Amino acid sequence: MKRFFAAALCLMVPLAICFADLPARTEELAWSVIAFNGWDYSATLAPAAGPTVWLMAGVDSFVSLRKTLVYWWPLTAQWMADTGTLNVLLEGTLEIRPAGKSGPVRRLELVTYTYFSVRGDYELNWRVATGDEAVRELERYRAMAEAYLAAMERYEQELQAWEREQGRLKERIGELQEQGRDASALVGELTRLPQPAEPPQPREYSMPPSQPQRGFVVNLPEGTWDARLVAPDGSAVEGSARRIVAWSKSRAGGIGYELIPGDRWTRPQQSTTPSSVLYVDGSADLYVQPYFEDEVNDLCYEKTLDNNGRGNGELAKWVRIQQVPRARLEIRRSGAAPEAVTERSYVVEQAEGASLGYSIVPLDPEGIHRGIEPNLKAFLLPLKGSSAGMRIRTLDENGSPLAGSSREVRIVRGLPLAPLCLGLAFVPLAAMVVVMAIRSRRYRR
Amino acid sequence: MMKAAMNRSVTRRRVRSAVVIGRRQLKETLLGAGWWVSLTAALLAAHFAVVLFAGSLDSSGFNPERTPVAGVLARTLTGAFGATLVETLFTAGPFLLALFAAALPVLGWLAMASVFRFGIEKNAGAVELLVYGPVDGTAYCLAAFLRDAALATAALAAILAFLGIEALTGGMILGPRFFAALAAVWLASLSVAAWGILCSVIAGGASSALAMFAGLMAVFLVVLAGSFTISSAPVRAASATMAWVVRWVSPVHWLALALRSRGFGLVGSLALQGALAAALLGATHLVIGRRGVRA
Repeated sequence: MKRFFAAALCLMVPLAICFADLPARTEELAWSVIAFNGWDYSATLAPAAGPTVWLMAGVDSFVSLRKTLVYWWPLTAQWMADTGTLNVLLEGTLEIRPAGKSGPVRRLELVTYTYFSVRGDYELNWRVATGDEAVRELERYRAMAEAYLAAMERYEQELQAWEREQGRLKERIGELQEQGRDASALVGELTRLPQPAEPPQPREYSMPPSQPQRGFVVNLPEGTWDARLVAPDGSAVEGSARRIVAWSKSRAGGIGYELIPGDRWTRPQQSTTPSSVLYVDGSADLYVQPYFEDEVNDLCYEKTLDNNGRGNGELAKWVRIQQVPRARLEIRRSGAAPEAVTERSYVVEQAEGASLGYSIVPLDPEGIHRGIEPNLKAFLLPLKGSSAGMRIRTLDENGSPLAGSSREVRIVRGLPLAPLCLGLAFVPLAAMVVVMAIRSRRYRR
Repeated sequence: MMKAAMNRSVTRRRVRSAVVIGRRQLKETLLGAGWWVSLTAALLAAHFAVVLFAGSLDSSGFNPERTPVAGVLARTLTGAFGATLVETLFTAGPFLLALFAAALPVLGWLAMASVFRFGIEKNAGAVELLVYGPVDGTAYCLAAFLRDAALATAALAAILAFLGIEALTGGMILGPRFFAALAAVWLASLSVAAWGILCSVIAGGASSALAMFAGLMAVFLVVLAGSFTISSAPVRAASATMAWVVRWVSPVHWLALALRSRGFGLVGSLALQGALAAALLGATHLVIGRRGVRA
């Protein structure tokens, strides 16, 4: 037995090096950033190793400086913060001055803030509230939520009472019918029994107000800025200095399309370049959703989303901002009048039986799809089986075409004349043979 | 007044000599095999780019994972330069990529052959011999440039015609950015040719001229690739200042700038590419005036 334990110990000791090693956490001053990226807010962390903070110019973003434990997480190659163990907000004034040149110093004070999105024309309509307004907004939301919860509680009670009453009446009807007596009065009472209505959900917010937090509301013009925290005693806080890059979009208001193929509706693609050509093989219908898009610098955008992010500073890219509200799609085929298509709701129906597959059918809200939420809201481009291309563009609610929304749609099913083109590629070689033959004949003479 | 008239006469004679010599050199190039082989390679590269694209189409557009070669290419480019560059290259159709794939072998061969030939002729004393006649060094350099310009134009015209046929037979269109890219590639080829001539004039022999030219082009390409590499910082390494200086004289920098510009930016970058070619020819004139044509 002793030998067995000794052998087991000898085997297990080397295994100790195989156990996971916790990353070393270091206490440092990190910038916690909630940055607006053009369509949404994204939270990121700028530790000492990421000394630049990227913010979109001219919009409100939120910054707070915190003492926390920072560690490198190699699996995702990211700096992370252990805020559960240490998370202390530093008080003071944030001083921001233009980098590398003289200019007025901006001093920002800590404020209580919240941000939320209200329902409107777009998917997201962000609002920011600070100070007392933020507290009021949250109280308003809480009151709304509590009123809804109370209404739901009442509804549950009424529903239970209704179900109990229904059960009682059904039982009584059953008894009367067993005894061979007339139950029509009770049946009438049962059918007239009013079902309680479910209270509507509060629809004011598409994203409710965030928990009020304290931070600096930073809204800077485009440029590079140096920032540091000054403690209440007037001294600069060590390790708080960061460079802020405030960037602007290079173009705005472009129109992109989300392309949802009928045969792979869970894998949409995007057509972002305005006035470009869209090539498809025409094996399935396309469902398209137009959206507004802005052109941004790749590196600036990626770093705003995540301070650990990587991007290409030399390239610009289009990013989705919002859907185009109340739009219509115009389809032009050669030799035919333009056709305006309206947005419709669709439901994905799984194939019956053991076989895989599905079909996308228009939503029938009053019929078989009653009570079902649509899976898809889009414009249908009937491409399946078609070989002719078309041109599409988006019209706004007044019927005017939106700039940059035009796309040429081309259906390419292989290249049947590819061998001919391959042969054409050898024409220069044939020309060379001819030239050399003529030359050698001339020399022979 | 008299001096100005003499200058005009020298310029006229120089241009005339350059045209005559350039025409003769053009004919010699067309009689060789290199030009035709490189053009065939260019058209084959263009054809395979188009076939690859057409084979990678599915119901929602370009999907590189449908063909192994396109998948590997897209993954490699995405890993090195990011998804944005790959989207820019592929999503608007195959012809932008096909144009670059085709222009690279033929224009690369043209530039290399021109540098090597100039060096050989200089070593053999052919240029020196000509200079004893009615031709000077500047006229000879101009002739080489005109020959390169004519051959680059012919190559790009052939590529345009070939891709036009590919588009027509495949039900595709060349795309709105194609012609701007074509103009940018043509002007870049002129700048590259001008660099080649300058290297030939500066270097002592054919091999050293070729090495100098190849090294210079490699530096330009590395700097360009560095600028397109995805990174987590705006400043790329410690060579950023050097790269910033190099890009001003780099034909590929102005080419890349033209490809991602539009409107006035596009016209400006094309004009600056032309100005670079002119400045390089001016520098060649100064160097050959000081050094002479002797190897």
